[in-house]
Amino acid sequence: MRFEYAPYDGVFYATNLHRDSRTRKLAWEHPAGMETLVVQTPFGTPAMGLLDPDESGSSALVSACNQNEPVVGSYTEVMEGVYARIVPATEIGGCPLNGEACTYTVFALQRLGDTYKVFESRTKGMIRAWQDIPVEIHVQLQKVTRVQGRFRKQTVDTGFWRMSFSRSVGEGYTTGDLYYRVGNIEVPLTQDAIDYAVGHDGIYVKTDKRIEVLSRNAGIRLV
Amino acid sequence: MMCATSVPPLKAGRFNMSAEITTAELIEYYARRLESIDRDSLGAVHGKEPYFPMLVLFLGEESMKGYESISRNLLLAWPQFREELKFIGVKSPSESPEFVKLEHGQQSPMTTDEVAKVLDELDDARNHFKDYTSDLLYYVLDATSIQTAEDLHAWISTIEAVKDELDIYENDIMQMLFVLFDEGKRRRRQSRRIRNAMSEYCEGGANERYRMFLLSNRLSTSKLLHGWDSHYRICASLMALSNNDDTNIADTLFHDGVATVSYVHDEKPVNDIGQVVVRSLVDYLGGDDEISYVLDFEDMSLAQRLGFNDHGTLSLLDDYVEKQLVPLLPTPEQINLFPRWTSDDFGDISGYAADDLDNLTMGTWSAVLEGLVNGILERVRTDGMRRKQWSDEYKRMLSEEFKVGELVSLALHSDDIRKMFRNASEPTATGNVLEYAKRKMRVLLSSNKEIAELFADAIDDQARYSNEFREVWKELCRSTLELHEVHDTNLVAFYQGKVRNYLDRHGFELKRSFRDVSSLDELRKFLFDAIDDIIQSDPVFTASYEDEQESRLSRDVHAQTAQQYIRQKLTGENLETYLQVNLSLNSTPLKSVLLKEGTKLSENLKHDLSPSTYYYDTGYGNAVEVLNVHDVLSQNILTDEGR
Repeated sequence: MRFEYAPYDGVFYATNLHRDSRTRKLAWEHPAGMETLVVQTPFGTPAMGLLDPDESGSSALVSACNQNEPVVGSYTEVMEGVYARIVPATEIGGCPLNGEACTYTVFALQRLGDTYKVFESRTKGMIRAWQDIPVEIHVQLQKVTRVQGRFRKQTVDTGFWRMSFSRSVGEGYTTGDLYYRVGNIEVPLTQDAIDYAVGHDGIYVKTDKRIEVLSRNAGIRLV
Repeated sequence: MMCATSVPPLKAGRFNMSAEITTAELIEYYARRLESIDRDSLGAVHGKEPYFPMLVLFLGEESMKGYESISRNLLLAWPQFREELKFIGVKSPSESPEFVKLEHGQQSPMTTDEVAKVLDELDDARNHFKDYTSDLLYYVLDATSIQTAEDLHAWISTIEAVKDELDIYENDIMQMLFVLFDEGKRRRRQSRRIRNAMSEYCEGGANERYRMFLLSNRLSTSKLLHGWDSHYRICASLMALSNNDDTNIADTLFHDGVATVSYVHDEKPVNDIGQVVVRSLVDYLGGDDEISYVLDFEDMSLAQRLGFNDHGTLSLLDDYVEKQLVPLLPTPEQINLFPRWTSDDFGDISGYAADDLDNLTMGTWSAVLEGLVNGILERVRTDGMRRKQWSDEYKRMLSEEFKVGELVSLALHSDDIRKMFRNASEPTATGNVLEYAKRKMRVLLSSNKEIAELFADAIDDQARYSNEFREVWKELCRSTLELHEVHDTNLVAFYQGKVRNYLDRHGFELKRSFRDVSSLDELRKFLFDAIDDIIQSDPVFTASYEDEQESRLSRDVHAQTAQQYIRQKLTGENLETYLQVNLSLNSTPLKSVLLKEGTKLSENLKHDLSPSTYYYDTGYGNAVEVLNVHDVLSQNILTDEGR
């Protein structure tokens, strides 16, 4: 399929994107029987800017979709840190998220032969075609100790800290969005490390210095 | 001598293909440099200087052809008077003459007022003449087109008309007329008519105002000279001799009546030497098969020559990784602060293999490495200076490694070359983590698409540049075909040897600098500088006329000594009179030698020649002239025929 930019059209539109509190999926309003394109971008950067044509008339999002074609049923990384998914008219009950701590935008599609027209979306007051999905993660740091002595009554420091997270971050997380500072260095946290910590009661850092976990991603709020 | 082609230079596409540089231009440069060096040697910048203001008038279009040669010869002796010597043409014989301005090699019409202004300029106090009480007027008349005595008289009347028109008083000037006299066989009748007409001026007859020099192209030995080159030189020498603070010489030369000269000239063969030097230099820089050599793309060493090491990364970038990225790697202490999936204490984990460390730290190690490289890539992306430096350095490397022909053919394999950047072999992650990091960073940097493109573009640029350079160089080589071969085998062998000696010592360095040439102007400057350097490399290049001969002739055991050789050239049968006469020329009021004073030759000649010989210091050590003035009596030129 080929993708083409189309300006806002009152007939082909998609708007009022939100997360359904019951299903936890994305939902929006659009004319019945119309296909849509859901685009996931880094937190705080809706995809409208990517669809807008530049001075030469070419749209970054359209070009990206023509190079890495999005499909129905799953998210495709069309450009670095940007994922897209086609939602057919027949899909009901909303669209699943591809992770949190990011922003989602929806565009109306019109299929004409082997071409998809991607229509510009419009914001009207609080009714908008994009939605930031922040996430709150609880981080816990704890010194690891062990007991020793003949009656195992003596507690000693192992030299390790345990770092645990209340939940995972999902797709769209970029290594280094979360990191920790210890001494004079900053160590990035990979998604693997966070997932492991969630699944295994924490990960470990060997130090006797103080550790501070920080976020570079405005969509991830550490609590 | 064949001229080959060249090693490749550095930067891309700045040769203007419509412009060119020729061997003639290089030889001219060589000759001018020697002139200037000679003037600065022996502690004397100039020889004798003109004493009075002077103006040279060329009578007729034919005569004006001599302007360039005469002015050039005068300026050879008096270069510092370039703006003060004046030259004017008179178009045709007339009572109201039309003037032509002759200045800096250009001709343009001028009014009588403008001529009068030129006369005023002669006496400008800012000039450097020693005496302004008289102006010297020299008239040059090429008599080739003169058919009758009346034609000659018409020109002599025109001289008077010029003076009338400009209101010049006889008492304020001294005058001299040079008549260049064509006596080819088809002009016998006209010759006799003019000789007879000229005889009226002998012994001060019809004209007591100025000296007439009759300079024929038929010499006393009956040889006929083609062209007026030596006549122009004689005119210039007579002007120099006569514009003199030595009143005896000036009086002798400005005495009325008709005279002619016997004359011989010899000079250091500067142009021939220049030709040998330039050809040898161009041949050397051109190399052997530089231009036609085609790249063998199947050659296994090609990747290495393109700067790739055994692991398929660019050595140039490896250096950068070593200097810029390696210092940013985490220290062993910092690695020990990485997160781990277990609290089991394994001691120092910085000595782990990369795979094991990555496994233990859940990809943190790889992420840190990638973050470092991405940071550097971002920096490179925005650092135009760095990109240019890499590009220039790579082009320089290419120019040292590949011949011109090879570089041109590299452009034909552009896609294959781009693939080579993706051929870097991944390091094994089982080695020491820091060693692995260094190699991994090399691979990440070298195979980065944007950086690979930068280097591939440099190859394209260099190939295009080589193609343009090849055309310019071919043109330079082609221009050597327009030169006449130097036939003096002694001279050719001697100077080829001198240039070879220079190239043995400085050739490598010279070729290296040659590769930095990036435009036609730079090529010209490079070749001029190389010529300067060659001139300075051996004293023989700047040696005076006689020293040069002595050095060169001494190589041939059968040759005469330089002194004998020179003496023979300047005396005896070589000293020919520029007029065939009846009876003999009895009176020789002036015997002179024009040369640079203070040289060995001047001392030797003073020892050998008659004590009455007058020596004029030209300040120019690359040439010597012997000029004797003979009074011509009417009986010497009067004929019965053709009257």
